[in-house]
Amino acid sequence: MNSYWLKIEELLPNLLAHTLGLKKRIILGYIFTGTVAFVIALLAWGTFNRFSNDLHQIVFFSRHARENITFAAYMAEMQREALIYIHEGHNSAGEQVGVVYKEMIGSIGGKELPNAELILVQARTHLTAYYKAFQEVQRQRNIRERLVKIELRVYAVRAQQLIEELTRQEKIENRLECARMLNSFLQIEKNAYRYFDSLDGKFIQAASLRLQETRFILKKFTWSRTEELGSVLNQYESAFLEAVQRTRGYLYLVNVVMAAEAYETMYQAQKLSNLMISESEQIQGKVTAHISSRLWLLLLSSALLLLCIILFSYVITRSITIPLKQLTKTFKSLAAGSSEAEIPVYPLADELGALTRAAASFKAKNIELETSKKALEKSNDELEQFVYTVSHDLKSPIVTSMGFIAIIRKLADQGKTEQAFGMLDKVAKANERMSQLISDLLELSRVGRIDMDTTQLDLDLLLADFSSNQAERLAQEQFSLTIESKLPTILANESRILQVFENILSNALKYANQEKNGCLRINTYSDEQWHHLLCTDKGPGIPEEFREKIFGLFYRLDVNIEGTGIGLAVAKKIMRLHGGDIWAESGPEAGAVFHLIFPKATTG
Amino acid sequence: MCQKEHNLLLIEDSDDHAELTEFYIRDCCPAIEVNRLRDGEEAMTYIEQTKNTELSLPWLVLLDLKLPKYDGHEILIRFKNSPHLAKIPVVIFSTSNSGKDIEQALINHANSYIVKPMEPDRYGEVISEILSYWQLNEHHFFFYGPHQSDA
Amino acid sequence: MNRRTFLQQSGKIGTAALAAAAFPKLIYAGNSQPTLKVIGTHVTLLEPIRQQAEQDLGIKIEFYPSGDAEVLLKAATDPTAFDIYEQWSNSIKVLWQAKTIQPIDTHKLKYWHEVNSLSKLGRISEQAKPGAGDVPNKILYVQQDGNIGPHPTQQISFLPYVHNVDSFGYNSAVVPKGIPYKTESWGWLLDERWHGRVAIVNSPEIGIFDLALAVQAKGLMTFKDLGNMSREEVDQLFDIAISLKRKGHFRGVWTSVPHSVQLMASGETVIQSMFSPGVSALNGMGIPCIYAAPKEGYRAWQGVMCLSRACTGERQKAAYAFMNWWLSGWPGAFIARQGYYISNPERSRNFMSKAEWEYWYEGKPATEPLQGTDGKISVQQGSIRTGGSYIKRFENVAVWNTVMDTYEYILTKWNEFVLA
Repeated sequence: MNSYWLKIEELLPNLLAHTLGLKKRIILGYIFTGTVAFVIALLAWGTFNRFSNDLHQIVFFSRHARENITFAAYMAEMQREALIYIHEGHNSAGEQVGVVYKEMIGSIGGKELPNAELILVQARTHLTAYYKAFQEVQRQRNIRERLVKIELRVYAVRAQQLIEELTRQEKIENRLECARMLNSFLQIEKNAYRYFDSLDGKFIQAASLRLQETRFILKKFTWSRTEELGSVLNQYESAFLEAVQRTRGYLYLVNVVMAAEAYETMYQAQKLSNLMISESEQIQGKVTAHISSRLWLLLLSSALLLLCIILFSYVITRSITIPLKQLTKTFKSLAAGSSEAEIPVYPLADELGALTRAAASFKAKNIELETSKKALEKSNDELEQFVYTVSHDLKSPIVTSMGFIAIIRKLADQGKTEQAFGMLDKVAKANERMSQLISDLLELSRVGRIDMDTTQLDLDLLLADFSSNQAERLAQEQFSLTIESKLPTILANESRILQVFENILSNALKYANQEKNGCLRINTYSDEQWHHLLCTDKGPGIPEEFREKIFGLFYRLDVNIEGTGIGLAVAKKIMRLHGGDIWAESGPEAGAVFHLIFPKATTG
Repeated sequence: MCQKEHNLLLIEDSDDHAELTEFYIRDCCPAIEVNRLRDGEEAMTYIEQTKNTELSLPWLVLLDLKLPKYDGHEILIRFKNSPHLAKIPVVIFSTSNSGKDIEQALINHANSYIVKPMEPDRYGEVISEILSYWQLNEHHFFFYGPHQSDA
Repeated sequence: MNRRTFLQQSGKIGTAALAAAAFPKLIYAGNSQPTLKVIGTHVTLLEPIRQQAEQDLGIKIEFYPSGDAEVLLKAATDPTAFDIYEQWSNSIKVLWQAKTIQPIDTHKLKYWHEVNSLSKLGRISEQAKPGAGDVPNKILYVQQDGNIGPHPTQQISFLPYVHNVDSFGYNSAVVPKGIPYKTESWGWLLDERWHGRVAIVNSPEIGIFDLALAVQAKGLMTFKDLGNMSREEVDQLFDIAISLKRKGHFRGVWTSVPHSVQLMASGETVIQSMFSPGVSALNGMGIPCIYAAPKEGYRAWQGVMCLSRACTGERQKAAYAFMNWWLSGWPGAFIARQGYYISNPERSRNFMSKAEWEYWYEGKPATEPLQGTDGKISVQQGSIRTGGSYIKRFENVAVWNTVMDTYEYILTKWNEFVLA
């Protein structure tokens, strides 16, 4: 049994069974299971919450990445509009650039990205630079427009007027030179406009050469207004050269500065959107990795927790079933009437504890039952013995008397009346004996049946009385009764105890006084439990093999000695009724010793 | 009724019963000599004596059960265990009609068990029957006994 | 500021005493101290220079630095916007054509006789390759007909002062280190290996030569005259460049020196057109940027100082004084520390340590750590200037920055290239 209890798998359930009550164990099991389920749910919630956040971010980034891609299209549109404006001079195209710019500067998104700030700043810077350059282009173009459309025209008209005036005033022979000058001047104009049209630098040189030529021709004339014409030419030239520079200026701005800014803006936008895409991909990758790892974790922890539940419920179940099984076994054994069934150790005051206690009281009942059954069996045996003895011993005188009656009849028939009468005495004796037996039996049954009133009985006093009452008889029989020591006081029925001593004395008188001068000595001693009384005679003693038999009903050692053989049986019964006993021993000499014991407890 | 002289051993404590038995034996078979033993102790002594001496053994034993000192059962066992006596038929003749006594006696090889009758005329009849029965036994013995096969 | 005030005051008190040691101050009657307006780029319009000039000259000087194109447009359209224009020789043709500058009298230039042959004759030595494009001497002298040309006269269109040679820079952590003048080549710019990590300076009159030299080095095309391309050559050049750009060969163009530094520092580029200060800045950041000495030769530039047509009288006098101050030694030494050369180096030599002179001008290893203009160590001991000495570098000039006749056409093509 011990090794069984030491097994590890039992250790935990038993520990639990010895520390926590049944209800608490079951509740603990539910709480544990519930907690585990909650933990699993929490894990799952965490995973999906994170996933939803990440998904939100992915959606966010992909939206911005798309916006930034459309950005490039905007930029291209803007540059296209700018070029249209420059080459065609459409103001609506110029205004459109501003509209697109404002839209764009507001739409660059993605500053939520941690490392996008620099890119964003750069994209904004380039875009702003682009628009600033465009504004400068507009300014330069407006100036050029003014120069070309107004100033050049004004100066050209003025110069032409002056040349024509000069022509009208000059002599015929000089008019050819005037025409040449006019032609030369017109060539300036023509080249100038060609330049503005084609933007080919060689026309500037051509125009300059023509201007030089015109001036050269002009020098030939001595006219009051030559100086005026020269200054008009100078004004024309400077307006033209400024227009050329303005043209080159805005061409440079558009083609170099704005182009570069546009390209950089688009590049940064592209970079931003790449960054967002990669970020978003990274998040996606992270999400995937996270989800799969979390799922694994979830799966693993769920499995683990389930294992825990199984283990825990096993332990709890075992903590219930082990005592239950033991109790079942115990109860089975108890139900079969066993008084030796083992009651398991169960220290708690729960339902199983109650069952255990029930088993214990069941066992107590069984023990009680067993005891009473044994007592019953014994009394049955005794009864059987009694019936047997009675039937045998009571039949004996009937057999005798019937036998002699038959003889008497026979003798009577034969006329042997005298002889027959002589036999009648036998019949009478047998009947007497029968009567004696019946009264003895009645006496015996009375001993058991009639209630005994017990009192504190001082045996010294009792036996002193007894001795004096028997004095006459003793003297007659020449027998001495000696009480040798101080006798104890016992709780007993006086008349019964007296009967015991009477029977012992009668016995002694019958068996130990056949040669007279016999004696009976009574002495006593005590041990822890009993008061011992020894009644010793000097008779022939009782052979060992008969020492028990003599207490049997109607048992006599010697048929020649009168008596029915009930005295010692009665004595035994009385002693037993007092919780004591009587038995025969061999005395120190030849005689017999009747040893009586009284329980000390009854002395009170 | 019977002519033969026989030696019968009666083991009976009650003087009255012994007298009755002896009376009826005499009445029925006067030739039968009754040897009475009064109690268990005497019976045991007798059994011991048969070992040593060349006593004439009884033809039949009537054994009461309720005896002072040693009872009939004890004597029966001792008797049947004695090689000299085992062949001798032992009839248990007792007032007891208890099944226990009968069973025990038969187990211990009692040859017969007769309950002492309580009817006035039956005692004599029973004794007569016992004797005549065990006299019949002699024929039995005659036919099968090895000694007298040629008679 | 305190020092300046002190010097101004001390200048008023004891001019004569200071004159011997310092640059001779202009002396004005009364309080009519002229203010000199100088427009130009960040390369030379530096605050220490302005302060030094104000202190030395005792005049007020205002610097208006801005971008190349902006400055040029301003100078070419409004002569009243400036007294002195400081920029590159490629703007001379434009300005002379725009007639916003006036000729400079060489006899008013104190150190004109010291100006070396590179500026005066277009070659630093007899061995020097003749560079393509507008070699400075070709646009220096005001000819009889009022145009500018190579024949020496008493009038010049600009004062030659700061100059240098440019090439490309490469990150030697990525691009294998080459041998100067031997393996280093403009062709590297088009090397497949640096696909997507190449940048060109966003300036048609400069960047076009980087592209042209690269294309030529790669053997993709040749030019009749690199310094004066025909429209067809421009078309062909840009066809190649644009197709390469469309394929993603170029990271893009850079618009300023900080931009070029940022591009290479961020790793977006590993090889690109480069200016000397950009290389220094990258080296200062620990990026091993090497300023190549291409075997095809450098792209050279000449700094020019022009006098506004509208600059007359006392302001003109002050302008001449400023020009003379520039060649007086200190400024040349100052800009030498940035890697630039001055047209009369010997006068600056006195303002430099021996180690500085040997490193910057003679191409010898630095015998000690050298400070830059900001006072920080810019040259570690033992390092050598790529390309060697001043003479060696200027003997290897492939082309001079030039505004070609096809300028307007190039502009439109450039737009296409940049946005491709």
